[in-house]
Amino acid sequence: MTASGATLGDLAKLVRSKNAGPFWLTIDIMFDDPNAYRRARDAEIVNRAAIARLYNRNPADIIVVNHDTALAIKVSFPRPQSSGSKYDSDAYGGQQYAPLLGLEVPG
Amino acid sequence: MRRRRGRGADRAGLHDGVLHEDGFEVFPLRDDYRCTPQSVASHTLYENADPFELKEPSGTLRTANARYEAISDRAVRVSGSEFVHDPEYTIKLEGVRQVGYSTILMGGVRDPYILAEIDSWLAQLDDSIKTRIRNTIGDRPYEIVTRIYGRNGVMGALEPQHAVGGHEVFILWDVISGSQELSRSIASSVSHLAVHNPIPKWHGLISGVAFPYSPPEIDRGPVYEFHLNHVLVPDSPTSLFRTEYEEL
Repeated sequence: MTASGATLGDLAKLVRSKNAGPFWLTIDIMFDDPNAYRRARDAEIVNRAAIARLYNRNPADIIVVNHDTALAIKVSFPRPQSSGSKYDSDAYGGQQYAPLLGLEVPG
Repeated sequence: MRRRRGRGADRAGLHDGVLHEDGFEVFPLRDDYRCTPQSVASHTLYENADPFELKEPSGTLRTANARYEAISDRAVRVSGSEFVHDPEYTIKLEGVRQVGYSTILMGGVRDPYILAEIDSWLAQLDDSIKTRIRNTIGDRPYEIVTRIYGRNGVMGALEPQHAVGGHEVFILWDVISGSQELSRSIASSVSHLAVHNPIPKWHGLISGVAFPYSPPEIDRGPVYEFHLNHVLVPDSPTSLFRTEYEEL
């Protein structure tokens, strides 16, 4: 990681995905350093258009929230299939965050 | 509000809380753990789509204006969140339906020539399966869900990378039909057709799938999916629940 360029994966303390009920997925990008959080937040790289592109979702269905006290950026969108249904491959939604890790955060 | 209160029997995740008219205080039971405004605020993230709008029975907990203050080096006071009651008392109704019986097959492919054309290899296999099943079991409904680990097995439709990048893939076939016997019989056909599914490179009968188990068919029993996701408005908060009183 260099001062000028880092990825979300470099900067975050924890990136995780989970079900939010059986029909939604939610991804938490959490930081322990307020400066790293503000840098990622203010770069606005986690936005509905970016998530829609990475996950092939409809931008109108995507929620992106910045939580300043929690030092976290949160992304939620409807699952392509409900949890545990025939074509679902991740019943608890735990491994759906990886595409976000490589997003470049400008310095 | 959902509260996760620790893992297993140890006290690692256990917290104590003090409720006040206008807020609450929270702190961990273990001396070497501490709550911070960040850690307590983070709790609103867990398994919720929106941390500022937490849907609960009969209303919504709004946390956008919540204040999280450290009142010691390990306790936090929370105030300013607001519970907005729905006009009516509601109960969430969730339910599943059985979609059939499942038999699975697990196999791996290491042949680089198959991996290089995995899509057409799978499409050809799909065709042979359809023909075989039509000729053996006829019109009885069934479904085969195929997951290719090493390509998009984990993320499915959400996966942005579509190429096989490694030197092997794991394939999980899930056969679902109206009875366990039918699913196992179809899975047995799939395993034979898959292992001998030809590619142009090789001439003669190939053995293109490694099955770690023999026989490869594994019955998984009945399988279900979410079917009911309703908000119910009962006559009264207790009308749906039977209450029996006993005198002791």
